Amino acid sequence: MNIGIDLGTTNTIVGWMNIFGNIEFLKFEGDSIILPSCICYDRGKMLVGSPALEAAKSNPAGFISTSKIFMDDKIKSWDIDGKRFKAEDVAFEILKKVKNTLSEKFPDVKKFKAVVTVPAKFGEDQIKRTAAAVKRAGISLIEILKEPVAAVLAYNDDNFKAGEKVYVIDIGGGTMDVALIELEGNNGVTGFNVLAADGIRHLGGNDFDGRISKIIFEQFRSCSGQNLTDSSTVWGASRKQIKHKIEKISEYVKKELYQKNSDVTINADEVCSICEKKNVCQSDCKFQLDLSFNEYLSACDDLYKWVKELISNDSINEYNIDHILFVGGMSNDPYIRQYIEDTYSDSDVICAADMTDNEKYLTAIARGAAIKACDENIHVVNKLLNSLGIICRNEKGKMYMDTIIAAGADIDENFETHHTYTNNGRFETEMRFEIYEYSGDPNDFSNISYRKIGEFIFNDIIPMDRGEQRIETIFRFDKKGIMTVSAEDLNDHNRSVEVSFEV
Amino acid sequence: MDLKDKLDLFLKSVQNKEHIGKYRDPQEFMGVYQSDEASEVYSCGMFLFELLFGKDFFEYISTPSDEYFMMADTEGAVIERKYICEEYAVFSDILEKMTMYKRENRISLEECIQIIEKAEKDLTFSEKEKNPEKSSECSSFPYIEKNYDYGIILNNKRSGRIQFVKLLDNENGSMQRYEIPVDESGTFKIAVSRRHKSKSHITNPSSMYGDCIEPYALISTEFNGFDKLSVELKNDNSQMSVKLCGIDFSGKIVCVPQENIKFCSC
Ligand SMILES: Nc1ncnc2c1ncn2[C@@H]1O[C@H](COP(=O)(O)OP(=O)(O)OP(=O)(O)O)[C@@H](O)[C@H]1O
Ligand SMILES: [Mg+2]
Repeated sequence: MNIGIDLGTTNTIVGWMNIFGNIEFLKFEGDSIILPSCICYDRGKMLVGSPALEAAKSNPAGFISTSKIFMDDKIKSWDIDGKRFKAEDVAFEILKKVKNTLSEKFPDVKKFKAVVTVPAKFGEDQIKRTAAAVKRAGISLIEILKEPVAAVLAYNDDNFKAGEKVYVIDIGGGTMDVALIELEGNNGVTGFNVLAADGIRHLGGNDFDGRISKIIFEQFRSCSGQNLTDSSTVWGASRKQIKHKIEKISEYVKKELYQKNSDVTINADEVCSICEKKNVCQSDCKFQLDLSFNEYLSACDDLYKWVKELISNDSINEYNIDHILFVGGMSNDPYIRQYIEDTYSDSDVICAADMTDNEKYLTAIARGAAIKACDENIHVVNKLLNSLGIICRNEKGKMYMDTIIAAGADIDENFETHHTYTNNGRFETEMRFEIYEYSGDPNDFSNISYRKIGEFIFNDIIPMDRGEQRIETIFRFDKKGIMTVSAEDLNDHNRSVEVSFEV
Repeated sequence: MDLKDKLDLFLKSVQNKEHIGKYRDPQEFMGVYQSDEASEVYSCGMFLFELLFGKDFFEYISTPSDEYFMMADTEGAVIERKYICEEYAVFSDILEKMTMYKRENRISLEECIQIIEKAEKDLTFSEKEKNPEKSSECSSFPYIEKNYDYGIILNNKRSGRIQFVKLLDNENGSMQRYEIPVDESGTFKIAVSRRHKSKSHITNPSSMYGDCIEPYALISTEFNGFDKLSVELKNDNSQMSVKLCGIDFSGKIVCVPQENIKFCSC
């Protein structure tokens, strides 16, 4: 059975197409089609989704959420009761829950094959880790699909015509993506060609919640003198619980602000339970938050600036845009919506948040993934967003970034690129290649920013003097959208090996 | 009558006290007690059994009641678990509790109704959950409504993306024939959906807007050696009828006899 999985920072949603072409969604606890992307490791028991949210109220120390934004972090981990979890382990637990729930619903199905979505800006290492978590969970991977492409697939109906361009703006819980996609096809749109794309890996609804939390923490500090944000002073279970509670309240306040588009007042007297000045409290142990929309906007000023910059990106403005698709949970934000409508007043703006029934606005990405998994007519050409390179030294010993694939390259399963390298040292028996993702001018090494995403080793080469080795590397993308590397020793009768690219 | 109807009937007649005194419990039988609530419970239990199995319990086990009572275990139940077939296994517990030999060991009527009501509700729920693909093997022709267009769902490499193709406009009765290229022989399934007239600008059942293209029926037929399949949907006195014909490479047309077309409504 083929399925689509939106493995979101906040929410995970799973869908498939039935024989009538309609998309159905998997139901989790409480009959909800939304599986909160979080886990709680509670006294040796692994809870995933809403049971984890429930358990977190009493055991916030066992709780992990929004781990997806750490998929690019090799070091970040959470230690709970002597067990260590990395972002990919959390993804694995969530996917395992998906797999088990599917198996319960479809006991006769032996194999679940999935299209899994990732943010446009995910690097090759993040994609590989996601793919590995899918495999570990016992789900076979059809392909990795970029989230904005999935969004366009979900909205592809008679309103979209071949030749038109759709600008997708997806702001979820932890990541933001923008992509301009050209539509192709004869009888109905079936081709999706990414013309330009960009994104921010670490910007989403959670960051806006964080600003509201900050206001609440500050208000709490000014009346109690206690600073809950300082991890060295926040100890003890009840303080952690209150901190967790405030984070939840902040998200609620944000939703209220968006819905009302004006000021919000809420009571959160529970936070007073840990106040050390209860005896001398002048407000009768009441805690009330009054937040005006303007106060909220100014607390998030820099975030909004960032969002706006990405939306009205130069590489996209040069095109003629027919439709704008604003998706993700943050499409409820009236301020961003207004900005989009003002900036692109000539385009037709589709806002996911307008579909309010059953939180349908959250399902677009999973729907697109399900369509890609089940409709074989669809063809996607991606753009590589992060340039890839190898750090080399020239004869004078100066470092430079040797580009393997420059950002902006069109990527589909036919893509491949060849590069030949030689040795710097003398008489080595192996050569090690480190792959970096970079931005900036590759020839101006001092002004380049880069991040290692993985490496591979070509071994058993015939030892040779400096500059005599000739190793050819070939980078390809397979059908699943995952980068693979092979290398050839041009001095050794073209000995060719698949090298394992380790992230 | 399906299980849900049976349980419905059961609950209704309990409400109307229709079963009282219909079945006499062993102690009443022996003349020890007068009828009371406990004997009512017993009577209900026997009635439920008869509803489920379509036969009186004693008839079902082919033992006359007096003979059975003489040999029965006075600590156990009259309707023993071993008589309940797999299909109704979920009711064996309640049937036992309702027909305990000793009246003081029986459950109350209230409790019993609660359990049956819950079972009935669960049933309604699980029926709704069923995958439309699985509810096959029904051959009645569903009614068609005026405000809807009826058509088939195409998912074929040669025809572009998944799409609703309107074949029957039920307001003006206009019809269209559609030819589907056939890649393989064997069982061929055609999904028939309907779309409200106000949604005629929507043709993709998978899109965000596509839920308004609703499953209507699944047609299946055996099909061999043809190049194309032509499909027609007709309004036959407010019921749908389907005409399927095979077209081979030379253009020869052979229509599928009606009895070989399976039709299953959703
Ligand atoms: N009705 C609403 N009003 C305001 N914000 C909302 C609403 N519903 C969801 N959100 C916010 O949207 C975010 C979640 O959106 P979404 O489900 O699209 O994210 P995700 O897919 O899990 O994350 P990502 O795409 O970043 O991996 C959260 O920050 C949540 O607070
Ligand atoms: Mg998302």
